[in-house]
Amino acid sequence: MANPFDKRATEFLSDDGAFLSVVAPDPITSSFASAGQKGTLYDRLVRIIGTPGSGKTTLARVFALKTVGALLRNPNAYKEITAALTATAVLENRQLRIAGCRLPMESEYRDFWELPYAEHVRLGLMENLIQARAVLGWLRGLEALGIPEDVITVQHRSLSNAALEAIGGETGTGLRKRAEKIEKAVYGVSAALVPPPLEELPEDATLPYHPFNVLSMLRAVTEEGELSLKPLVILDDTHALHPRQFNHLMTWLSRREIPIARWMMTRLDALDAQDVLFSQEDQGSFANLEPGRDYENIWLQGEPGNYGEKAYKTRFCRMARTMANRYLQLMPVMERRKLVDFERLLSNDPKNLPEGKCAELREEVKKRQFDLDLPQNIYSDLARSVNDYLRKSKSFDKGTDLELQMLLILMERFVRRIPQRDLFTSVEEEEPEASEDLTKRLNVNSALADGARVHLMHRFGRPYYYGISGVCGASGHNAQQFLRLSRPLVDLAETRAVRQKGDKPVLLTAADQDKRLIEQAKALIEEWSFPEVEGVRNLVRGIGAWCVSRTLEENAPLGGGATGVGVPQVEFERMARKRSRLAQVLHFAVAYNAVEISQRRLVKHKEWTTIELGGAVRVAHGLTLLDGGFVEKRVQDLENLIAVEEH
Amino acid sequence: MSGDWILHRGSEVREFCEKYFGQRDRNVALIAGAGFDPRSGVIAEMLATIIPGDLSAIFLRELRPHPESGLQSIATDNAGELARIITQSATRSINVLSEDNAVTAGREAVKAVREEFDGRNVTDVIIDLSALSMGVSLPLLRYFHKLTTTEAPELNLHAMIAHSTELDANISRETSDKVTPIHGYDAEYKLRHDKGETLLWLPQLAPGLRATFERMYEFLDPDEVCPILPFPTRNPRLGDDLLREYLPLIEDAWEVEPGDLVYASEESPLDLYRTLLKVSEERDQVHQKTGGSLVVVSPAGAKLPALGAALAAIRSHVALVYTERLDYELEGQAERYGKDAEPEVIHLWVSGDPYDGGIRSA
Repeated sequence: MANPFDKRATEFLSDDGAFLSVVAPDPITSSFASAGQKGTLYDRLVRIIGTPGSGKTTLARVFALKTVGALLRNPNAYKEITAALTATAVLENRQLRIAGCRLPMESEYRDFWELPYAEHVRLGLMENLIQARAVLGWLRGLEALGIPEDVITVQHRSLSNAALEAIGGETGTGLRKRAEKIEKAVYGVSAALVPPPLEELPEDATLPYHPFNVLSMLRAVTEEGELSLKPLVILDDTHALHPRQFNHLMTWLSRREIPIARWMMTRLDALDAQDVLFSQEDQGSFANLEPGRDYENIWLQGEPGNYGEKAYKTRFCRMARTMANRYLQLMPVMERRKLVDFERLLSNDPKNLPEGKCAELREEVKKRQFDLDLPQNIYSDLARSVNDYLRKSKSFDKGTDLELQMLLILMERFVRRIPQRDLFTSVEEEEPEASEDLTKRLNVNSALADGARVHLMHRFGRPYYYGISGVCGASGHNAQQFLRLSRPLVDLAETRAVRQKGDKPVLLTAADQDKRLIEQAKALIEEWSFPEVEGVRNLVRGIGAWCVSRTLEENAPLGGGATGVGVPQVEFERMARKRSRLAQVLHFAVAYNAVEISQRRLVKHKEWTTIELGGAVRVAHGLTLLDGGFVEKRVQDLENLIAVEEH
Repeated sequence: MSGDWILHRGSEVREFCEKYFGQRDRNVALIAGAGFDPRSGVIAEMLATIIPGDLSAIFLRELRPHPESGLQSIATDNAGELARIITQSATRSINVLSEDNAVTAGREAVKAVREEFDGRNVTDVIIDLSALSMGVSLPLLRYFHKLTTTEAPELNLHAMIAHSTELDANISRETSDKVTPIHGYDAEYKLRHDKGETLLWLPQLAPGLRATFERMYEFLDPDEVCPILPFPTRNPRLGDDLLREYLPLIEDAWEVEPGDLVYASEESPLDLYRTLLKVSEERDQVHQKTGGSLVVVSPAGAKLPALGAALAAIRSHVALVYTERLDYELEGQAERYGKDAEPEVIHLWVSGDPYDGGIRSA
């Protein structure tokens, strides 16, 4: 039976109605609301940036005419999306205001760069194909809405008659005929086995054709009245273009005199490696263009260096829940059994370790107290502080096993914090106030509890990755990865639903979830397929091993543990500017969610760049999903990692 | 003869080459890969013993961004050996990918070969696909086919392969993240799909390419999918292994009905060729009045079916879409294919004299 969670994104659903029924409205409002309020969504170039799977294409499809048309046929069925599109001014009183058309910038556009012509000819061919396709896209979209081309007219900027003639005149039919001719001619040039000599280029491919400069509105008189739409072109996947083509698009579409709305969607790796590796404030201005003034940037996962933003994570979890619930509704078995609340399928109780293991831990605590020469009064203080913390904690997870492991870590921390003793002085003989003071200073908090949980996972296989927050964290807050990681959980829940008789609720234990999430995370890494993939695998494998080693130190020095490495800022900048192999590997590692980079973190009075492992990599290595610390390293250490060749 | 094609295999190939290429009026040019593939010298060696005087060659060396050092040195040795075997030869380097990882293989190959052929008097061109990647060999096949059916009807085009499925299985690949039509096999699929032609996608399944096929699916957004499984195969479990690997995609994401699986022999190019032509023709009839039909094939894995797909694309309106290989790795048997995996040489006369000036293309 088909599992919709196996589809990579909602863009796979070819039916617009089905598509609308699974799209979560949150990303539309959260990503576009700010630009919408500022009024910059449709009056200048908007650049929408995200990693693969962050939902760029899904967003682009929501704004396309064909999808909005399906929505308008039954707006009550998709109230939330209708509200989101109203908030972004696509709709006004359920009347369409924006005519959106999505153009994927596939390899054929990049192919223009390989043609044996002068740069301006190659760029001109690309511009012509984009404009012709956009015009055809708008007309086809309107046709899907039941508005034939012969009732469409053009509102244009008062340019010369020649410019208007060049785009096919003022009617929809004229526009379509001209655009089809241009498309066919330009397409023929880019797809030719042997490109024609410059002088033999078809006239239609090279003549001036500037509908983006001329068109300001598309008008149609329908039975419901007059419709006046602002054309919007959404150039998707612009990362596939040559960097010079990409830069040209930026410069061309940033021109303020262009009356149509235009968006460029791109993956992080289309930007210069320095754009990816440095946060926006560290970047210079782009081709003399100023973000905010000449174009608007919308970062779907937060700006580089700011991925960890708590508000984004909260928003993501809300959106992921909605998305998962909508996907569950597409599964007949789950729908029939009313098992359409993803969160309620996942237990949040990791269960205490069996009594035998707890006894083992108790023994270890006793032995360690003896080995560390820890006086009973201090031991009691430490035990009491752990007990007090857990008693007040709102977490489901506060069993004896956790308490004992926290105590073990705390004892180690206590011993490491007191000054080195001479051979003949025991802790009891030291100033009593000093010891008490130390006990207070040893923070018993959620980070300590998280560290204890991670230790228990590695030592006894106690579940750590479970619950909706576990799945969201494991996904690195990426929609596509969230769906992929959820798939085996949903499969299991579906099987239980089929096998379980009666109305008994289906609940996956924390152990079930943990096992499947780890397996799936490893499978996702195994399936990685992108440039420099081996370098990225070696890099994360090495960083993962360092983090595990640091995390499992007896005193859990970084609380929940390490989740990445930190290198001195100065060294990192030098490396990134050199455009070394490491810079290249990091570029793709960031672009494909393998790592996240934060710049200029001030720790121990020094500036660091941290390279933190992505969600799936953390799960595969058994690392914390909460904010972790980092292992101090040098750039050379990272370069050594990627130099390892697999045999 | 094999149906409407002249095909030889095994010992028949040598016999044919001696009789045909050995004739005095034959002036033969070989185009082959000078890479790490242990098969790169098999056909050159055979031809050099049969027609030592009238044989010239263009060897193409495919350059990729981060080649494995061991394979690079094998490729250098092989290129030297090939130049020794055929003295009237030139070696040209081809950038398979540009600096930004865009696929340039096909264009570069056609450009290099055109430059090398300029002014040559040749009666027969042999493209040796054994050590060339699809992105290079298939555009050359298309280019010469077009030449033989337009400007140079007197030219004969042959395709030869030293075929070894065992060796193919030992070569692992890292693929690009960019899906693109094979240069020359575009068939205007984009224009046709935009205009509403129903797109049927036939991915030729091969081990370890799940992420690649997912990307292709997303790129093509097909209306229907019919995966191609190898059968018959030398490894009888290959079909089952592939089904196990791809079942989640086949069943869930692509929603393929059991009857929609296509089987194609990995030992012959003509099996898949005939299937594709049949599928294409039948769909054309069915979809004639409903906007038209568009067939897109993604060759991967074994080379003989890929050649079959290319022949079908030349003959019909079939488009070929693929992802280029970024890197290769040869597992074991790095120097030679081993006694049990001795390649079988296959020859296919693609166009020229016996076809009355070339096969008819769409």
